[in-house]
Amino acid sequence: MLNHGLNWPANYNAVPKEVFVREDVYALELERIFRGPEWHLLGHESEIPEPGDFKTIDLADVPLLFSRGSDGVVRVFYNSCSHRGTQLETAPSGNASRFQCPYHRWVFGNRGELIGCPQHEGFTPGFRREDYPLAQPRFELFGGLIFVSLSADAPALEAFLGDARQHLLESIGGGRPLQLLGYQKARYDCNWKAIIDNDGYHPALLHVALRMIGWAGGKGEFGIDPVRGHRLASSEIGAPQNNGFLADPSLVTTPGGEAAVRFSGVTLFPACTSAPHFGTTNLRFYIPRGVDRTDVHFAYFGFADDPPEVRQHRTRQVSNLLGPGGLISLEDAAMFHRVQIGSHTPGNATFQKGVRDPIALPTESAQNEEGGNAVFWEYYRKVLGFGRSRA
Amino acid sequence: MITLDSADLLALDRLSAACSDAIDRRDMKAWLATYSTRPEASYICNTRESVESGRDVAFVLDDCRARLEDRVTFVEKVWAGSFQKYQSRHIAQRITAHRTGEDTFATTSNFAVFFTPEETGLTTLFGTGVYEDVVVREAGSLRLLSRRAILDSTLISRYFVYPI
Repeated sequence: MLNHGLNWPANYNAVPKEVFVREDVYALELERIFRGPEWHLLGHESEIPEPGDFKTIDLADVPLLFSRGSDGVVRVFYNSCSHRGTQLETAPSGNASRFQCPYHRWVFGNRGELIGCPQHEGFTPGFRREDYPLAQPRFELFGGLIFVSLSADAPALEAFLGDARQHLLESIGGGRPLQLLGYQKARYDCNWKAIIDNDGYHPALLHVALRMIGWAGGKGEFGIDPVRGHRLASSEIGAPQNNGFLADPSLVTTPGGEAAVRFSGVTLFPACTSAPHFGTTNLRFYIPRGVDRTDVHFAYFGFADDPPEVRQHRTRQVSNLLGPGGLISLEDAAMFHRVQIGSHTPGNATFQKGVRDPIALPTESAQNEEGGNAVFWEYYRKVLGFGRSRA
Repeated sequence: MITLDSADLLALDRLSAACSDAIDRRDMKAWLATYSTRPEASYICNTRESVESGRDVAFVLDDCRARLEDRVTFVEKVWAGSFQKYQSRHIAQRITAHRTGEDTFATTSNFAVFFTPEETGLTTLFGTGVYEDVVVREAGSLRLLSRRAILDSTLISRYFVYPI
C-alpha cells in the first residue's frame, strides 16, 4: 500500500486530520470513491412523479439528469449532449418532453433517445441517430431510492447495501408511497467526511434544544455494516411533553398526535443519510465541491396518502426543525465548519465514546456513541490505499 | 382610489429600516417589535426555486406570532454559544408600495445581505432577493403583519442564525 506521505495511526479510533484538508487526498477520493466502485444515493423517484418530470444533480463534479420518461420509467443520464458534451439541462427540476442542446440544436426525448440533429446530411458516413442517445451511468432503484455508480466494477446494489437494506426501507416509511414536500439546500464550508463522521455521542451535548424542550432520544438498536461501515440506528422515539418552553409546541409534535414514532436512521458509505424525524422522511444528498466545500440537499417527503393537514404539519415542522437554520440542526453545520478549520492542525482526531478496544475494529456500537465510525474509516483507508502504522 | 402620501412612504421605509437595523445589531427583541402582535403575524424565508415550483418547505416558516416569539428564543437561548459569530448587513430598496386599506399596505423591496464571519473577517454576499411585505398600522405605528423573504439563491452559504 502507498501512504502518500500520510501516516495512518495504528489505533482504529484515530483518524489523521489531514484527510479533511489535503487536496491530493480529495483528488484521490474523487477517483476511487466518487468515480469508483461505490453507489451514491442522489434521489427518490417521488421527486419526479409525473411523466416528463426531471431533476438535475451532480455526483461530485459529474452532472446528471434524472428523468421520468413519457413511458413512466425513471432513468438516469449524464447531463451532457451526446454530440459535443455540452451541458444539456440547466434547471434544477421541471417537466419536459424533450431536451434540446442549444449549441447545435440536437434534440433528445425524455427517454434519452436522439430525436433530431440538424443538417445531418453532411455527417460522418454511416451516422445513425440510434447510436447517439444520451449516455447513462449505472443506476438502480431500491424502494424508489435512486442510486448511481460511475463504475462498472461496483457490486450489485443489494450486495453494496448488505444489512442496511431493511433499515433503509424502514427509514422511508416501509414501502408507503412518498410525496415530495420540498428541499433546503446549503453549501457547507467543510469536507464531505466532516459531515458523514457525525456521531451519536454529540446530540444531547450539542443540541441543547433537546434538553430544553424535554425531548429525550429513545434507547434503541444500533448496527454497523462490517464491510463499508454503513450505520443503522432504530428506536421508538416519543414526542416531548409540552413544558412551555416553546410558544408554539406544534414544532415538536407527531403528525397524527401519536405518543411515539419509529425512528430508523441510516448513514451509508460514502455519503448518504436517511434520517426521518417525527415520521417525515428526510434524505440528505451530499455533493462534494472541493476539499473544503460540500453541498447538502435536504429533501423532505410525506406520504402520498397524507391528509392536507398532515402534509401542512410536516412542512411547517421540517422547515423550522431541520436544515441549515433548523432548531436541532443548525449547530451541526457550525461544528462541521469548526472541524474543518481545526483539521489544519497536526495530529489525529480520536474517538473515545464507546471505544472498547482501540486496536480492534469494532463490531458493535450504541446509539449514543462514536466508536462505530471506525468501520467507515477502515474501509475508507483501504479504498484510498493508506497503509496503517504498526501498533 | 386609495393613494399613498409621502408620510406613508417615509413610515414604510422607517419600518423596513428598523427591521434591518435590529437584525444587523443582533437584537432579536427589537426585530420582534417590528412585527404585529396579531396571532397571524408571520415571517417566511424561502428560495425562489421553491416558490416557483410550488413547494412550501422553507428555511424559516414562522407562520404565526408564537413562532416569531420562538425564533427569539432559538437565537437567544438555544443556539447561543454554538455558532460562529457573524455580522450581517442588510441593504433594502423599496420597489413597490400600495395602500390596500385604511391602515394596511403592501410593499415589495429588493434586498442584499452581506455576511462577515468573525473567524475570517472576510465580507461576502450572503444572498439577494425580494421582500414581500404586508404592513398594518397598530396603535399609531406601522408593523409587519407578514414578511416573505424570497432568496434568489438556490442554496445558501453555510447556515444562518438571524432572520434575513
